[in-house]
Amino acid sequence: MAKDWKLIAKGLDPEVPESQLEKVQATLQALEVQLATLMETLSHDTEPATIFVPTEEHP
Amino acid sequence: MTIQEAAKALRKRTISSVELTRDSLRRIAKLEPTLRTFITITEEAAEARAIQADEELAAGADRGPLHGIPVAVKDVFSTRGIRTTCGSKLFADLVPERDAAVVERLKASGAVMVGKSNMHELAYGITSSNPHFGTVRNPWDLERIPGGSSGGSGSAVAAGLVFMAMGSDTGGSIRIPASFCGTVGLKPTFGRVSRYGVLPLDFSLDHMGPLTRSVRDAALTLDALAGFDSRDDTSNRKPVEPYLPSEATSIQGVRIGLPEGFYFERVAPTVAEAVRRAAVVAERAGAVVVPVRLPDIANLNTIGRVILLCEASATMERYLARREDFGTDVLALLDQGRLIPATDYINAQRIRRVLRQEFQAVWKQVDCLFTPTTPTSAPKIGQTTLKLGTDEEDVRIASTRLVRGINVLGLPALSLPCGFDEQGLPLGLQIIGRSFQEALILRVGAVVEDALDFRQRMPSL
Repeated sequence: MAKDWKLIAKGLDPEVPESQLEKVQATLQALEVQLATLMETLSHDTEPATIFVPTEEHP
Repeated sequence: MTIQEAAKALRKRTISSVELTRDSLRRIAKLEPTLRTFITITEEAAEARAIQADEELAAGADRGPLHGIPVAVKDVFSTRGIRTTCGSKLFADLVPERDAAVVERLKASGAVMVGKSNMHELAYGITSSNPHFGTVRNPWDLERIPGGSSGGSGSAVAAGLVFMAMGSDTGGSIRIPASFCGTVGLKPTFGRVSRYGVLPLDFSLDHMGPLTRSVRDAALTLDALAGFDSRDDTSNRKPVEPYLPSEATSIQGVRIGLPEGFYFERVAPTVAEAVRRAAVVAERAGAVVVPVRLPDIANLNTIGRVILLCEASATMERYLARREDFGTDVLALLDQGRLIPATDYINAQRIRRVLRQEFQAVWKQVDCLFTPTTPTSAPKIGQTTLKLGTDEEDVRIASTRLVRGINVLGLPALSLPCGFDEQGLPLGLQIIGRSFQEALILRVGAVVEDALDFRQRMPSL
């Protein structure tokens, strides 16, 4: 499902101007498609590479 | 002259730190109007530290090979009492109250900092054409970029202004300027050199390392910088080892992988030839060169870009109301990062884990990899696309294509000069190693460097 980049851009504070969106939209769309392809092989229980690891506290 | 040669001369008393430092400052004064390599020059402090270094050496208090050596530090590292701009208008007047861990360690090793080097704005780009502090130029051809974001550091080392300059590398920002400027650049393993006191661009991709005139100089600098720092949560407790290869070091039996596919596609023929020639040199020195198939590096680059865009925008979001204070290219990237949903960022970090696991298999076959650092020599200032074969490619995407993925994996990587193209511009060889195997890639790099013998070739300025 393609994202509505214009709507997302307008919803931000400060909003991303339309002229800027025109410059970056193609790149965003391409990244979105590439990421979606990679997601197809990802198993449900794969954790992010950066996770919170609590350390022992020494008061 | 290298750090090793200067260090010997200092101990023989044939030269003093004050002489080296004044020579460095004189050369900076002469070339700075052209090269724009510095944001701040610390002349008085440098002179005082050089006097102190000479006094200490005379008294037998030797802090090691960097003692009394003029160096520069990229303006992303906090320096107590000296402004630290990160190449940005936002921080133009920021004077930190603390030193970055790297600066502390350089001071402890007796290095003499002569200034803070210019860089791409916020370390977010590869041209180092800084809209606030000037366009850094490549000493080999003043109409060309030095690479970035550590472009001032690359330019300063290549022009012989300093013996070593510190850089930071989030998607190639040490290795790209090393390749374009004909210097050595070392990106250590993630967690090997502390990031404490460095203005962050990307929390999970930022690495700190030196640019130098020789591989052994990079190694002895890493000796001074490496080690655990409790103030950096990603700092690794793995004990450091000596990194400096001996003069008679050997690479007998070291397995070097020459990747098929990605790394030699869409690369200038002179670059591919120079890297293959370096592999032959390594083979003659006793290494075993084998073809190797790697996991898809394009996938690493995709998730690297998603992570970079999101983390950088998260870091800088609080300043984005001041849109006029950003350069146009950096603002476009920061806006782009804000538009990517959090779910995409998290999924990119999940895929990162999978790709890291896939890459483990490579190290069962080889000890290190030889690849080009950049697909071409330095592009011209203002050039936006590169033509490789029949394809037009964005200069930024092309220049980061062979280095970005290594930041995603956190692996150590070294860039060193491996040839010159038909225009006389330097070309870079990238040696990638296993995590925390800096000593091995430095050993291989030193042997290749000795055999190729490009160290004496300097730009005519």
